[in-house]
Amino acid sequence: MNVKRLCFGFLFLITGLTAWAHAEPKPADADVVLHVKGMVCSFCVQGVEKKLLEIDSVRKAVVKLKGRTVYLWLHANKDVKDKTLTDAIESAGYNIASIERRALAAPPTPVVPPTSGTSSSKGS
Amino acid sequence: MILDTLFLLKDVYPHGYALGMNLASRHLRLWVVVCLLSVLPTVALSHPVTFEDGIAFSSVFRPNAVLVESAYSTSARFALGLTYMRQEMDDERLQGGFVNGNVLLYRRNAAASQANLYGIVGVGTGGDKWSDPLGLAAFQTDFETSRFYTAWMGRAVTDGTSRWWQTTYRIGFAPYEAEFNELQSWLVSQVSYMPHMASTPNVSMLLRFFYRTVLWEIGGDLHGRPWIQLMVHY
Repeated sequence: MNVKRLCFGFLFLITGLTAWAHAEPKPADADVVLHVKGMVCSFCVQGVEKKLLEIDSVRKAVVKLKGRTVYLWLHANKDVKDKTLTDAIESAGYNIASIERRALAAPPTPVVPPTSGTSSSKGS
Repeated sequence: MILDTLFLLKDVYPHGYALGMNLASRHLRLWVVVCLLSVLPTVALSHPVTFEDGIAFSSVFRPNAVLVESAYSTSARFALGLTYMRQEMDDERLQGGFVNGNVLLYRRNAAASQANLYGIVGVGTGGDKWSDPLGLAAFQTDFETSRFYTAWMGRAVTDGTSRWWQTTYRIGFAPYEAEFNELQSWLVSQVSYMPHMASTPNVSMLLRFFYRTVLWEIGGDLHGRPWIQLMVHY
């Protein structure tokens, strides 16, 4: 019995210490926002996050349980199809209610230096 | 002890902790949990099926009953599990080890709730000499929101001649919602009826704590017998 209590206490310590808090990015600048149905507990969050992070183009995923919302940040110049997201959420056991995407900013307009009346060309 | 030391290094020696975490891979921690849970009595899976490639461990301790369950989900609808149970009665002991299949028969995902129906079937061996073939069948249905939870489960074991069955109903309330990185506390009431162990239903009051991937419950029944449950998902 003492051995069992010791093991239980050790297990309690390990499982508790495995739950590390981490800094979260701001949801306002997420690339994709998912509204998910059925997420009601921490175990739900764990499954959703794991399956989304398995998608190559997903750089970071933050799940907000209170709002039933998932915020995704993608790798640079990467995109993810709605079907891929839907399949990932369904493999976790949930359903997507809606998908929102942040409007991509227009490509920067190249700056053209003012002409000075003379021209030059690169030497051959 | 090695893992324990590594975790403590996180605050004292971050570089050492980072090295330790590289060494203590996910799989190593998994097997440590498996070994430790195997010496603990009783546990009951709240989610017999989790998510694709998810692994769940559950253990319940009561003075005269032990239940240890584990399950690997091959998809969001099916899991392969291992179950060990032992129940001490006045004149006999029921114990068995099973390999079981857990099936999500029905799930309804709503905006803020989830309802499930699971079926479990298993085969195994038991008895004093672990030579008696046993069959296991169980069901579980539940409905939950982020602050309310209710579940009803039933389990039956047979050796072909005798049958043992039990049923449990649970209802729980959380006074507040919590995020993944916040501790959520629950008050849970449980009524269990195991006719081979007691002639009347057993009522237990439990405190449940839920933090990230770990759930644990402590409490006792109206006769003062303790209940401790630990559940971990990977």
